[in-house]
Amino acid sequence: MLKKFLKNKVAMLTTILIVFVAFVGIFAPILAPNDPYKTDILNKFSTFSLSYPLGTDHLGRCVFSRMLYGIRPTLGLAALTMLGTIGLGALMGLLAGYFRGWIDEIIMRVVDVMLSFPSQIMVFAVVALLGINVQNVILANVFVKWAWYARMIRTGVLKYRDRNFVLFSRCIGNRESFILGRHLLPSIASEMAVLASLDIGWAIINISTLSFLGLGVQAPIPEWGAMLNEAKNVLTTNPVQMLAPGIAIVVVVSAFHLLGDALRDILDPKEANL
Amino acid sequence: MSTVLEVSKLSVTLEKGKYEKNILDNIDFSVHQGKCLGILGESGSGKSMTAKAILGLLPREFVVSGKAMYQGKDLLGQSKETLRQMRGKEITMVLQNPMTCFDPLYRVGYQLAETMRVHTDWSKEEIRSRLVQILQDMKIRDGGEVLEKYPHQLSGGMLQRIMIGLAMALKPTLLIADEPTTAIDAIIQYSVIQEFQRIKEEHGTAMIFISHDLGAISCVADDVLVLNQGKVADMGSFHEILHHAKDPYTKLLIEKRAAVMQKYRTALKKGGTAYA
Amino acid sequence: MKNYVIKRILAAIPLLLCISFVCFVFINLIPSDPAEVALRVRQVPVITEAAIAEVRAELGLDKPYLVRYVNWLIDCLQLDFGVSYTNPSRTVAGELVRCLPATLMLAGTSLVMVILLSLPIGFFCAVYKDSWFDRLTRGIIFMTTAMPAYWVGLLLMWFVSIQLDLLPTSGNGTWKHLILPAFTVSLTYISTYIRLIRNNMLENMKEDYVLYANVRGLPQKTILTKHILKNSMHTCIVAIGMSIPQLISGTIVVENVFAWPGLGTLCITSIFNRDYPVIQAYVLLIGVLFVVFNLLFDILQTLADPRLRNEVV
Repeated sequence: MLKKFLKNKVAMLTTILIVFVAFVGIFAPILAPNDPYKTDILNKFSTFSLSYPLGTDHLGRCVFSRMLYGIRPTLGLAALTMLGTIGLGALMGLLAGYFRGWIDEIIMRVVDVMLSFPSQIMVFAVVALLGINVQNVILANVFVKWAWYARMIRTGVLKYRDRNFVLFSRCIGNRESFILGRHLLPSIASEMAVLASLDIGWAIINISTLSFLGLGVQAPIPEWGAMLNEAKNVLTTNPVQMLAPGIAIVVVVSAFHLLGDALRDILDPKEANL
Repeated sequence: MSTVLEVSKLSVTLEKGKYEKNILDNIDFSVHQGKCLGILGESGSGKSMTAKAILGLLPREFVVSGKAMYQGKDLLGQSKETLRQMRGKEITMVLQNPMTCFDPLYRVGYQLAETMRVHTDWSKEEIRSRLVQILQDMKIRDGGEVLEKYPHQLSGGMLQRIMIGLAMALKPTLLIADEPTTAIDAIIQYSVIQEFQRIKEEHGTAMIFISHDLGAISCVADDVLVLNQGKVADMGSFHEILHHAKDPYTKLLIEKRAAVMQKYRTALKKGGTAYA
Repeated sequence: MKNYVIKRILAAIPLLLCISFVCFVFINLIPSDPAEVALRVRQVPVITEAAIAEVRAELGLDKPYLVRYVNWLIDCLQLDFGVSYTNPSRTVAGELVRCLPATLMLAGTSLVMVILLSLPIGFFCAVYKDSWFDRLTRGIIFMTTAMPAYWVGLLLMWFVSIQLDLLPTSGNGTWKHLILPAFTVSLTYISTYIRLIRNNMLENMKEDYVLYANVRGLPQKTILTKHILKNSMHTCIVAIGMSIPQLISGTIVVENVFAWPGLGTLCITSIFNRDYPVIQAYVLLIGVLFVVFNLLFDILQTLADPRLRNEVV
């Protein structure tokens, strides 16, 4: 399977792009030409120059540097969200699918209620409830999305739990947790990988939307959604402020979508031919 | 006894990008008025493809070459619109899975009527009375009620007979039956085969009967074309094929089939029932 | 048939109760004391114990949990959602009603746009599969799914309102104000439905009844519209129906961008003001709408499909 991954041009390109962006984000302090927080009112709305590659914003800060620093909250928070969502969802799904009985019933009822709510509203409600800060943004997203994964993983577990290799493993006396971790998890991992890469895009958009509305990452921290919020007011005078973060979001989310599609092609044998 | 359809050097190739596969290779046969040609072969031998190729029903990826002369015209060279007008009226077809061939969202009567509306300018009342007549001819009782039913409410055998009835409704010159007995149970199979025999005798329609079942073909066909993996394995009258088959594949087919039938007969005789 | 409908409605009731319970619990999970918060929001200068106790009694917070839940539920059924924390003179129900028409107008127009645009485009993408039109559309759809709705709004605002000066940028006055926000809201759903209809049609094209229709000599137009499209639409009914509550809840962001005075703006303002009763009522409203519309269109789909309809009768 790794060979197929390496051969698939789309998967390789998008992965390289994403890793590159993550790299830039991590090494932003070294790569950014200016301090993203330093204001220089006299120099506001300057055009592209060598010291300010994308010009400056309404407070005279370097847009390019803010973009680079902005990778951190955008990607970082999204990654944390996904970890939390998949972690909680996987745990619940595995428990429900593997042990069945009343554990399954309770978990699935909760999942049903969670899924009948619109995710957007729930995120807002949770943020409203817990207060406006970054942790709550992550918590809200995890709270909303785990149910989806729980259901998916439960379906996957149900498919595999009665397979021969699981029964055999139990026969020779392996502990339940061992079976869960070593046998079932890798089987469903591939489906999870596809879903996760498509969902990271959703997470990025969601986090940036919250920041845009002022409910997530607060000013003056550079984050692409928050930057767009500030850009809203200066649309006529400095459109670059609005275009740059937006295009960045589109590129990164598209990369994740393409990666998800490519992964699906790699992992699904039927799609491979013709 | 005139020739209704004459096919020469019919070939079909599947072309998808760089991938090319030969489906049918140089098929020749002819069909005569009042006679039935049986096309015999295993699954994948290209039987259905032959019929679809002649009627222009294959998607773009399939390249068709050769000649199919029908009433002086080469079907393979006709425009889509001309072919469409002939389908359902002059050349009709009965398909394999009657349960899935009708649109599940429309009543059966509507679908039959829409076919007639396309090919004729009969009034609504005339269409309705003809449809009831057709159902009667097919020995379906309460034709009026049946027309109001949805496809999923009728059995496979009944839908098959309705299909045959529709195929004969506009008095076609050529009727093609693609595995009409495959998807229905044995008892109904017999009555369906009887229908085909009746059609041949009463209406003098030319027929092509496609099947993998030697038994079914034996009841209806006068001539037999045996296909094996897209190529003609044997061709001749039914009697010739049965007793003097030239191709080893055909001989094998007949031998095995005869052996099965023999075993079956012996088993039944032992059981005490006198089946011929 | 009636039995089926009644059974489905009865099955939905526990779900509605659950949702209402979650909403009720919601307010009581706030880290801080709602009475204190209310006082702070009302900008009472000195917060004494007595004042808190008074407000608690006023808001009914001193009674046992279950009693409060039942009382609250009964009030909700009578459409009494309490008063706003920020402005006790205004009832929550009143606020919702004030802002609802604007949102309904926006959501309604978006729905119309979605249906008018996605149906024909999806149809032609399927009919002319892999043509330049199909590929172009799929490319645009791909891009649109990666764009956050608010950025699309900003982009449109910049391009259409400012550069081309064709439409106003914000506010709510004439029909001209409606176009950009409605289009922004509908864009996400248009992409989804174009894809849905295209895929449904392509799958239906492979079905046996299409082959038989061709065998019978029906013209392509009839086959495509009367048979393939109708079958494809059937599977979309629930999806399209569910988009109505989704559109209503999805206007939040766009209302913010275009300063459209609807429920979304109300919700955001309430979040900033910590006006919990309003938020609670909004979430409850949307949750109920979701369940109701899901139920409604599920039943409609069963009714519309003869195979399911007869099973059920």
